[in-house]
Amino acid sequence: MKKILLILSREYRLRLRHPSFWVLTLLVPLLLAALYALPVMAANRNARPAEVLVVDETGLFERSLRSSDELSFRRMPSLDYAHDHMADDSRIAAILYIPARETTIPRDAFLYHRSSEPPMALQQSIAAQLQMLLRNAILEDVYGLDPEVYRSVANTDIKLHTRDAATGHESFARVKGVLAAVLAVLMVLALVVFGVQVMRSVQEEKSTRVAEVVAASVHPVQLMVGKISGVALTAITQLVLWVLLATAAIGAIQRANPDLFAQAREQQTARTLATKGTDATAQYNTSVALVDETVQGLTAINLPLVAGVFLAFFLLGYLLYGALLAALAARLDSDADALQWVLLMLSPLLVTLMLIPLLVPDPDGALAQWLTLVPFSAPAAVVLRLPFGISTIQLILSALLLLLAFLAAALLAARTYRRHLVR
Amino acid sequence: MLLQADNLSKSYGAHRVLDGISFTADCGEVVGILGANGAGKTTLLRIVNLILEADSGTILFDGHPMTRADLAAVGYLPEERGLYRRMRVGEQVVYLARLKGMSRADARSEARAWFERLGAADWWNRPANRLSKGMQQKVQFISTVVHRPRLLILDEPFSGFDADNAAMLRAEIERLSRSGTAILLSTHNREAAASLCHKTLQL
Repeated sequence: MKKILLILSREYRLRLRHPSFWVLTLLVPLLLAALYALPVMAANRNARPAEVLVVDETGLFERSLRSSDELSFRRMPSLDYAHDHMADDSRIAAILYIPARETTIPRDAFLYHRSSEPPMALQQSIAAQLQMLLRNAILEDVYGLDPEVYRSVANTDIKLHTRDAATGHESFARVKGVLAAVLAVLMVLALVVFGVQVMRSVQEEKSTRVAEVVAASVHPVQLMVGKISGVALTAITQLVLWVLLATAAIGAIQRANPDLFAQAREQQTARTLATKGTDATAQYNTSVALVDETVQGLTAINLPLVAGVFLAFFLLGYLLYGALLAALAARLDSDADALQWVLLMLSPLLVTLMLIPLLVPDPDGALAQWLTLVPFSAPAAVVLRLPFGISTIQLILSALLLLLAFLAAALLAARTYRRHLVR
Repeated sequence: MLLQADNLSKSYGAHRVLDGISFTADCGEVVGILGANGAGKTTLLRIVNLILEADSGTILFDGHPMTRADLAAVGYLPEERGLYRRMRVGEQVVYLARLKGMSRADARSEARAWFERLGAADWWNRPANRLSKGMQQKVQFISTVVHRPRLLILDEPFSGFDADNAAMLRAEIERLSRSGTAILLSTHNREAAASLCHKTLQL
């Protein structure tokens, strides 16, 4: 045991001393904080609105186009005049030209821009306004319908609520589906990153020929267990630091600007209403409902349980793959062969990821249950099913099978390790 | 008798590498193991180190069947040797000594003494990849003897050593032998064997 602790300690300290550990430890929380704050900050920006000149030969649109914080329209009498105007004024982003047609309903509109194309959001905003105005015109002029009446009918929506019959609680299947996919991807990434670290460590000992000196002092199994444990401790340290630092960074952003989200929400509302008219209210309500559903869905999920099971299956999966990758590294004579073997060894996890589109809609189906019980795919399959609820018996059975697979893999790996580490 | 090997045999597939090898090594004795390349010298030394298992035969250490616990009293310098590239060499020697069962304090003071003795005190905090090959060879030798082994196993110890380091190594082998350490030394150099060894085993 003392020797295992010595090896564990060396592996752990070596990794903690390496600059890449700290670069990654600091970079990931910063990236998470940036992902959290940048879209909101971008939404809060107060950029000058892009000016678009409008030449509407149909006369259907020019009076109804609405300017907003991002976009302002100015009518022009002719296309030539507009071109001259744009050549003289660098603030003008583009010319919107709607040519007259022989039929009453225009089919095409053209956006003439400078050498750089206008942003996609601006193009979409203009297209949405034209679409709405054309539809209103057709409703009124051709069918004699009041657009407001049409809108109230078109926006009629019924939401199907899925609820647990026993508890009456909402299921939040969409939120759970997204969380399941995120957890599965995180699990596979963590297993690959830290499994490969074990492999690299064995490869280093083999290539530097230290392996034979160490093998003359400790049993190969002790060496393997010490290595795997050392990297596991590094992984846990890094995960904990990521959570703490990301929480601190996001907390600092929130403290520095408590109204960040409220401002963004208000600006987005104003922008949407201005550019799309009252139609946008329904869309806005839908997006707010989606956010509310996400928050409610996450609240309804037992997150500490999810985190605990995630950690437990990460450790079991890591032990299994760590042992196999250590044996693989001991077996291989060159780094060149390593990648294809690693991909082959990790393929059960990768296949489970590829099956996400089939597993999320049917998390209790036969395929999901089989993948849960197969130890090589279990870590990803279990966390994929976890947000939807997985029976305790299946969870325990899966963990036991994973543990047994690890013990079998450890024995096999130890034999390979002993036979091939020193040649 | 410190080490007694009886009737050791080992095959790799159909190829029989060792066939009924027996020898003894007593305290202070230098035993030369001679043979051409591929004769089985390294295999024999790995069996004595318990890195490989013999197909048949026995090894007695201090009168009892040798176990992994006895490895604490064995020092091993393999033919293909190396160091952890980025680890500081002082720390590395202490680590290897602790794997042999020494306490941290003992390992540290003994390692310091060896570094001083071989004129390597300034290298203590340098990582191995910042040392020349000759310097690394000295550190490798220190890591072999730092835990005061009763049996020292040296596989082709002079291969790759420059003349100065070879002379240093020879002097240390003689000194360790005088102080009672049993030494198994494999070599294909008959002159070195004749001048250093008390007896030889031809494979």
